[in-house]
Amino acid sequence: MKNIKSIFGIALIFSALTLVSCVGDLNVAPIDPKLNTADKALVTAEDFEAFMAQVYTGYVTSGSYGPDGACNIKNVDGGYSQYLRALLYLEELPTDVAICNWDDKTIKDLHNFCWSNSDEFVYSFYSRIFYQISMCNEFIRQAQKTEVNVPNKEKYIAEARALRAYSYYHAIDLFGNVPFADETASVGNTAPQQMTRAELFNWLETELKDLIDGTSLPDAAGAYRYYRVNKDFARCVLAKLYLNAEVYAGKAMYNECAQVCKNISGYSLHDSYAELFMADNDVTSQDEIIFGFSVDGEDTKSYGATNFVIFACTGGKMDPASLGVASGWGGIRTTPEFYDKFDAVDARAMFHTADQTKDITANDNFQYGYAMKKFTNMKSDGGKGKADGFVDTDWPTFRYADVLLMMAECGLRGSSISKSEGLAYLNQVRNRAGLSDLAEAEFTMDEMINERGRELYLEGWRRSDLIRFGKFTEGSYLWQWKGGVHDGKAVDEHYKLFPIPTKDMQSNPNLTQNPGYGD
Amino acid sequence: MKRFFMMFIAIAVLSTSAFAQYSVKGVVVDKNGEPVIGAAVLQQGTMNGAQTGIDGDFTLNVPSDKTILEISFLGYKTVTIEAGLASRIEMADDTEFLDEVVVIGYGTVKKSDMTGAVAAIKADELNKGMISSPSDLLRGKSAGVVVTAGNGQPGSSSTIRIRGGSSLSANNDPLIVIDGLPVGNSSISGLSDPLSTINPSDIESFTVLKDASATAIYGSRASNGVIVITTKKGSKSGVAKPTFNFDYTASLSTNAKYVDVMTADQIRSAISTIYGTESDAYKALGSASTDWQKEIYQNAQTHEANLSVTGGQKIGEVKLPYRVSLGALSQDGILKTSAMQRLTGSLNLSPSLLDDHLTVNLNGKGTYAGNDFANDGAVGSALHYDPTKEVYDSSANGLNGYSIWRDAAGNVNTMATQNPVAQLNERTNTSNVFRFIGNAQFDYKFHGFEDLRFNLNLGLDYSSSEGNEEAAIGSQQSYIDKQQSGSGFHNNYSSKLKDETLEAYLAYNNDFNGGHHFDAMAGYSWQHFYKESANTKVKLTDGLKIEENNDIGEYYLVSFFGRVNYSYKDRYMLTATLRRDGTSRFSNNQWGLFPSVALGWNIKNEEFLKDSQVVSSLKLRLSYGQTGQQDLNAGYYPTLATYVKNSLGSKYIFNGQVITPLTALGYNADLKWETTTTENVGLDFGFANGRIYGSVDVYKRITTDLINEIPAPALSNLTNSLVSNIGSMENKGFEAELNGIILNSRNWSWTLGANVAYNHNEITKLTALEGAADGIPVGGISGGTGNTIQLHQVGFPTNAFYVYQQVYDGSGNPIPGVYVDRYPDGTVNEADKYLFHKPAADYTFGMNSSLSYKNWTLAVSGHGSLGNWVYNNVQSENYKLVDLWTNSFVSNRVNGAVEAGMSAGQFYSDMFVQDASFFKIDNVTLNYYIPSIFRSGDRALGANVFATCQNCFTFTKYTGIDPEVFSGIDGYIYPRPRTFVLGVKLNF
Repeated sequence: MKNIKSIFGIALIFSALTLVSCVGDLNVAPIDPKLNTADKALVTAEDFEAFMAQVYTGYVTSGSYGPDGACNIKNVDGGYSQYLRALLYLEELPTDVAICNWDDKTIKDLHNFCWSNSDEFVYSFYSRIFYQISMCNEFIRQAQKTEVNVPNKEKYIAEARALRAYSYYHAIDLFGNVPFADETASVGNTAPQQMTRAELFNWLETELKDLIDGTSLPDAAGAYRYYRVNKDFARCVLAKLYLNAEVYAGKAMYNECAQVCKNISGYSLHDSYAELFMADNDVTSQDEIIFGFSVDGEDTKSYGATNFVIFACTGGKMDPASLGVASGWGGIRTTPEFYDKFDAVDARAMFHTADQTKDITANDNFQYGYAMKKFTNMKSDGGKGKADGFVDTDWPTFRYADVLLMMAECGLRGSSISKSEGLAYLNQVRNRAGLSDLAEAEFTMDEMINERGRELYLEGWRRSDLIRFGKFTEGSYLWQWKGGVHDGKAVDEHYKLFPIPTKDMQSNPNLTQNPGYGD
Repeated sequence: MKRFFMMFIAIAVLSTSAFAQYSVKGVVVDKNGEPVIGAAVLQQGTMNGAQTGIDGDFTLNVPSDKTILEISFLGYKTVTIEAGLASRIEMADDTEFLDEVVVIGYGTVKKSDMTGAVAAIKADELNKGMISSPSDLLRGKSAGVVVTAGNGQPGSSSTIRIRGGSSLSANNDPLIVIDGLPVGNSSISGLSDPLSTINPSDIESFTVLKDASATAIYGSRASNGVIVITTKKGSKSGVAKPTFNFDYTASLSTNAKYVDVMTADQIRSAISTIYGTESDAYKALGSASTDWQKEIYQNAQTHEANLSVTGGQKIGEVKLPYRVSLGALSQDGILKTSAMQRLTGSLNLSPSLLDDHLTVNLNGKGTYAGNDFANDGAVGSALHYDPTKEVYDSSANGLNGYSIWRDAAGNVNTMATQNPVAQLNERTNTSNVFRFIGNAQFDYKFHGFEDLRFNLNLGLDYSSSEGNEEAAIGSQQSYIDKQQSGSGFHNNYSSKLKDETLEAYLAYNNDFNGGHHFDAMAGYSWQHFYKESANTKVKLTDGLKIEENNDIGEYYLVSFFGRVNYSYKDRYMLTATLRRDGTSRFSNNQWGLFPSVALGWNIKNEEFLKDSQVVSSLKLRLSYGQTGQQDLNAGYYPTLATYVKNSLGSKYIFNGQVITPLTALGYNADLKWETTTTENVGLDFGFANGRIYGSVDVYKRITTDLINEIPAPALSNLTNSLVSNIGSMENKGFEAELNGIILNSRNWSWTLGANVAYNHNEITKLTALEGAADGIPVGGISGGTGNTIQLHQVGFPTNAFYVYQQVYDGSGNPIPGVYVDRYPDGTVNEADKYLFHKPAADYTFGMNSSLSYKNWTLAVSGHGSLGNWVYNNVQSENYKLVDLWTNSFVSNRVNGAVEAGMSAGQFYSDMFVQDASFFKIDNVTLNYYIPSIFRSGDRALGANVFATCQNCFTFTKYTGIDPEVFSGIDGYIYPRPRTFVLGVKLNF
């Protein structure tokens, strides 16, 4: 009996002691089949294609599952931190094109020109830009060091570089002096150094020229026409950079701009302006759209991108079904000053005026101000997109009409393109809209900026254009509620740049704040 | 129910003690021969008893002169004696009468030997009423333990905070240990309160471990305190005849308060005044007069029955005490379509083997719960939906038979408020949950070396749930969802949790000559946590998938721990603990070391106080210690570089080819343990032979290496925000508890207990860099997208409200949209916001009273808080007057909104941050005790019949529905009901 007892005791102790080996359990690897550590995630060429797809979809979705699940930008609403929506907030809302009556945080501060260093919409886009750049850097890093046989590796790396340049372009345009890192940086906690706007200009110019002159980035042909970034995409970014060189780097480079634009060939204006912004624009409008981000009502869903433009601009007594959607969010309208730029016959005057007032007596009601219905989820054949909750309309990132207008502007401002040649480009764009030719005497700076507004509104260029023409903060051009007053007022010049968000100032000691924002 | 109650009254009247054969007459005295008044004289193992009178006398009828009597009274040692010998009973003083044995981490301790801040709470049977979750039993019972009830959904989870929270973004829930098994408090879909799977009537006691000396033995999971729950066991004596307990309660719950919104007539007049009678808005009004809140709420019934059998059986040489219990609960919610059904079963076997050297404790608790979750969006809709509309509309204007709003083109207006009744009726959400908690504990005393014992504890906590949610085809809610466009949906969700535990320790315990006591313990613990969850949501019309998620994760904790207790002459005590914890979450910093030390001085046992008649106990406690935290809300692998495959809806299409992207995720390889250091000074005291007793504690808790999601420098990582160990936080406070026996006479007894706690919380560091940081916005509100009303900021308490300072006109009315330019630069923007109050209370207090007269007992308990503020989101959203008519539908407002005249939303005005200090009478119970209804041999059937009112009354200045809002944001919350209970308990 006594023996049995001792044996029992010893057995208990022994069984416990052997379990000490369980300390090894602390070294875990993910057991979720969709989650893998880096060494197990990128093991085939398809894995790199999938990673490349994320670099693209980062511009049109919010996170790892649609429409706003597992958002890439943390601690900010998944809807308004979507890349293109955040871009439009900053490029269109502080202008004559758009005003929004929502109660979302400080959204009204954007049209009122009183945003602060802590503004969440500013932070959202800032974060989104650098998230995209980080993702491009990581792709390049992984692709460069991989031992996997990836046949399209050089093309992929060039694509990631071109998209990275596109995002750095947004950084230089909206924030000016920004942190900089490329694929040589490590992933961790190292705070990057800041580049001045002029330094970033030089880097971008070199990088884009290298992509355009090199052999890795494909020409706009075959699989690389429209759906993937190509040399013409890089040329468009470079043309934009040169067009605004006076603003970015203090030197006029219209000659260079004109030259780059002339190298963009093989495109023409699409007959129908409206079809450029419809659910099947990827099918109908490849003649004009140089590159489009793909959006799909079933597979690529978010509360941003073209979904945002269509839903936010629909409200009041408008019939959402006529735009191919089931509902509207009733937020964005235009100012009377912008509406007045359009001739009645202009095909681009796609406004909804019934039951809306032209005057924005107060910015608290969707029905104050005319609504816009430029983007829709209708197809060119009159049918609707796949779903009416999310749209199929691709985001027309660069259009040939913009290239023509850039050339027109180069002609007007003085470059290798003459004024009359420039006017011819401008008139091409006007004719497509159903307007007659402008005479050379009428071809003024005001006409130029107005034409850009009429052609490109809600496409993410307005703020940048107004700044280049000296009409953004200045008193020479006012619109309703500019500066927070009904008739508009001039505002301080420092609003031409957005502030480096306080959150980044606080976490990166290498940063200096933009002028006028304290610190 | 009524009939049932009448039957018991009848039985009570009929019952006399006529069945007994032997009448005992006796007197109870103390050591000085003075009569002991109010002592309980009980026939052992029954409820047959009497109380001694003013001369210490009693009379009791029992079956025979050999029947064993049990005489007990607070402050005296319990006497057991045969009835034939009971004419004069002397009771000895129990100098250690407060010396209950208290269950602490990995062992028990005599209360007088405790060096830590520990509160032991006996489950108060009498005050139970209708309580479906154990956490409700704790409310108001111990200083610094704040239990905030969830919403009114049956089974909704309470939030428990001990001494405020010590973490910012990591888990702030206390660790729950049930019968020695640490269980997860992580929720599982379809079951809102994991703790609610424990039947409250199975609980014997709670022990709340507050300071680090008590908690550090649990190391990694104990930063927010520990609640040790001990369930009832088989007969303590090992062998006993079975006793049966049965209780049944029936309750009626009603909605306690309605929001004061405009009536149909009021909204007609408001719209005609504002927009005119020719306006679209006026023309859109209907002719009905519907009170939508009355339409969605109901008076709801609850029925509960519990049965338990306790006893002990001898099988061969083995003593086998056992307890088996079964419980059934059926509860309807006051919001129509919400309900819960629950079955619980528990089994405890605690056999002793090998000459009592091996004790085995087998516990198994199973729960099966069926939930009907209401679509509580109806709570908000009922305030906004137009009261001039009918509930039903079978014309073409209606939808599925309900009245709705349509836009000008005749489509369903998807921006409009939904018909609240349709919202409830057109969606079902049911879930079935199963949970099993079981452990087998072996405690072996070494033969020939009985001071040493080995303890092995194997435990399993398994739960699984499966639920189905469905919205009808063509229902309004299905039109409003962008993914569905009227298609309806079916969502199937499930989850599974499996926590496995293995713990083993060796304990040594000895008293040495000269008054030295020494005990030591060393052990090892291994835990594995596994969780999986999945859901698939499809359109009802065509089965198209609109949502598909599947997540699996696990982590491990491995620990080594030890404790040493030393005491000298029961006066000077020392406790030291050390725990080394490893977690799989921090791949590069797996291990953390958490020490604690505590000193106790039992002053009462000093010569100068030993014989004091006034002071019956006095003890000073000092402690210092550290605990850790790794339960961050950032997944299981926050330190690994990982890639995730994108899911449904987040693909990319290259020229018609759909690719599933692969996303690189941000990570922080340097993540490590968050550490909380607690210092505590406490004093336990008792006076007048223990008739007055209590304790006072002062503490300070400093959390460093705070696990905190902070902005990552742009471009430094693959995310904008990274979980890091940056920041620190401090909690300081004091607690006092006082209990007294005010009255104790022949017929009367009155005990009163009260506790108060003060806690001050402050964030002391938040960012890597010094200087004024942005803070961390938290606390999403209703109204606008992405709006948050609270901020974590250095120098302020967590979750402080971050608002604009409202400007008022001469007569004290707020001027809409005008705020103080606090950062004087001429514009009012984000920079002008300031931090204004916080949701956590400065002072919390609890009170309970129990007054008995003969067989009647009236028990009252309440709790309250001071200095807790609430953001009244209902008011701020309803004051936005432009919503009265916008986007082609009428949206009702609260009374007062028209007068306030705020057109646009003024969500950030500090006028909506309101003082929500309160005192609540939680529970009033009147109980009638019938010692013996019926007798058979030496057994009697005893009964308690009681009536209870729960959530009886709230004293507050706050104008919203309920001032007790844990998050501090009072939105459209399913209200907690007021409940009336009738019940009976039988024991045999």
